Amino acid sequence: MAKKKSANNRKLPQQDLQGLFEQAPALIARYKAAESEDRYQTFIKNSKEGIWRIELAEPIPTSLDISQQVDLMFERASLEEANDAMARMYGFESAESLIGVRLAELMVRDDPANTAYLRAFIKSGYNLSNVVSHEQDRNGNDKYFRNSLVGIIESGKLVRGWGTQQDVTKQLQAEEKLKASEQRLALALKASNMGTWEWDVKNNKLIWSPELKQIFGLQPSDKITYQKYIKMLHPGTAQKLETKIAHSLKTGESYKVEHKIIWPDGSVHWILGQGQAILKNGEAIRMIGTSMNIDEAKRNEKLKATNQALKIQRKELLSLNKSKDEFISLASHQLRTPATGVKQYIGMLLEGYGGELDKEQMHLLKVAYESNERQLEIIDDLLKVAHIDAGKVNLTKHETNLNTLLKNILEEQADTFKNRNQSVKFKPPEKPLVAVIDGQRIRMVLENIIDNASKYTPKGKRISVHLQEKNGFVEIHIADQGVGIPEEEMSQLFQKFTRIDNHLSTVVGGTGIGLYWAKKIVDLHEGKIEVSSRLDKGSTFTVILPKGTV
Amino acid sequence: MKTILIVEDETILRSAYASILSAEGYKVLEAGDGHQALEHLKKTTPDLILLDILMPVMNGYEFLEKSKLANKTDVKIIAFSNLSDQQKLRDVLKSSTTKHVLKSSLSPKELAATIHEMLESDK
Repeated sequence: MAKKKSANNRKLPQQDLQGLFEQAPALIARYKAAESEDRYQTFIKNSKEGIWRIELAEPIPTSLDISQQVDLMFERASLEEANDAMARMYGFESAESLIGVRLAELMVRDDPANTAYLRAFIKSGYNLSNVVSHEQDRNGNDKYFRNSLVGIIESGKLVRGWGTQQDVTKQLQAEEKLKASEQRLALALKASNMGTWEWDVKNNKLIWSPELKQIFGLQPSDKITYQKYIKMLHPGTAQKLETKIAHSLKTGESYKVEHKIIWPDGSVHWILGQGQAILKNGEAIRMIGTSMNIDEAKRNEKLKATNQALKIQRKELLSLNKSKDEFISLASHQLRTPATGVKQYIGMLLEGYGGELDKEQMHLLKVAYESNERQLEIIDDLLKVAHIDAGKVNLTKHETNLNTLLKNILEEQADTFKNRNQSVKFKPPEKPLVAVIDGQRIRMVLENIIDNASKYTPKGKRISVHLQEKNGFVEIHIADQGVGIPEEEMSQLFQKFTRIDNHLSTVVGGTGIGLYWAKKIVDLHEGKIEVSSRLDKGSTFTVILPKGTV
Repeated sequence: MKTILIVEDETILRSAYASILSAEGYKVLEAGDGHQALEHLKKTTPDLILLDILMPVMNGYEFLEKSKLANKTDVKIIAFSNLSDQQKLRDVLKSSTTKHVLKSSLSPKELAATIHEMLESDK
């Protein structure tokens, strides 16, 4: 191979002595050339840089377009001369191993950086310095070389190239690593809302990281000095921080302190500041530290405290509410016994157990009896509320025929309707509608709603009851032609102890717990009560209950 | 003459019931709590027991359990319930010879009628 060419050139040609003289000048020139060639070879051999010559199997016309030239270079170029330094860069012991290796085998062809490198070489007029190529050594490891190369052009064609290269792999990789770790640090600082600073105490020079400026509400271009920094501290916590800094400057101990700062825009923020002075001969020369925004943690702290306070308050309220419920329950129980006693004794008089009474006496006792009945009713209502509010109501569900249930209720109240001259319309579905419900309690719910419908409907009007099944639910509609419920009072309808104001409510008695209790019972069934109403036209109450299963 | 045992801790109510039932021609025994009622049962077997549930010392439930009367048919029982224990009473008093009524719901005549009806039912 061509590698021996240079060595051959160095040998003095075999000449006879006669001709030697004549040819002396040429010989001297040759000798000198050989000597320079020798020095050249020595230089090449000992150079730490890779030195190489590339030959093109077939010259490439420089008139071709650049991409074509690049392609042809990969195809035609091979290494014809190299030194050991160069060989070592590719993982070989001696240069010999490299000779004849094609460019395509050395350079990663797919790497756009390499294509760019060759293009730059062509564009530069075949003379390029300090360009990094991405190559691979014999073991397939990535290598980066800094190249300088010159192309030899003969008759408009590139015939060979000379070049030198330095292995910059380690350097580049180290730079890459540093860059990556810097990026990681920047990311970490950003993620934790943390910035770093360094203070040259002696020269009073303060260096802030861009993150720190952001944390202090400053622009990246803003200059910062210790004095400026001190001004940004919130007066409420400045003393605390300055004391810590002063202590660290004296002792070299680290500090950690939560303090407030004021941004240029006037907003106040919480910071966790940490730092430590570096002493030399007992004197602080430098101080380094970090500041972290802890607004969120502080907010959470506050929230937690508020939360805690609310929890305690809630507990107190619940216990208060429980005491109230217990009071109502106890008071009602206590009231009930004497009231029942009154009922029994007046009852005895009224029913003749105490002997004959005249008409006037009977009348007075009847008033007392009715008043007592009303009292007992209120007490029972209060107990009912206390009972359901205490969560003591457990439903007893059975299959219940709603056709029958409604028919019974309406029959029982028939006299009331008759007295008020009200007509009732109820056409039960042909097939009995059965639902799994607490029949006794739902009966009380429906009685209450039907009773209300009758109470708040003027004489001569109609009440219609309609029963149907819909999507696994039973719906009981109770529509009246009564006074209606004003829109603004709808929301209070199901509240405890509220009664809707209308011209009949003063006549009609009630404690205002009927619908409250009814809703609670329906809720326990996982059903609901819907109401629609128009003033002076009437109201429709719809009780919706899941059909349920046994 | 049929005997009725009134078990009621409230004196005012107990004497009211006693007056009514005596006037109705029954022999009346009185007990202030379940314990006293059990004492009566040792000596005599009443035809009917008027039983309050909420009582100190021994309440109506304990009395029913101790006396084992709930399932016997020879002694009829009317238990006075309040709103909260209707459900429980339904479970305890299953026999047809027992009844539970809301304490404040009956007037003297109605109470007498209820008792009369129960005592006459198995004739």
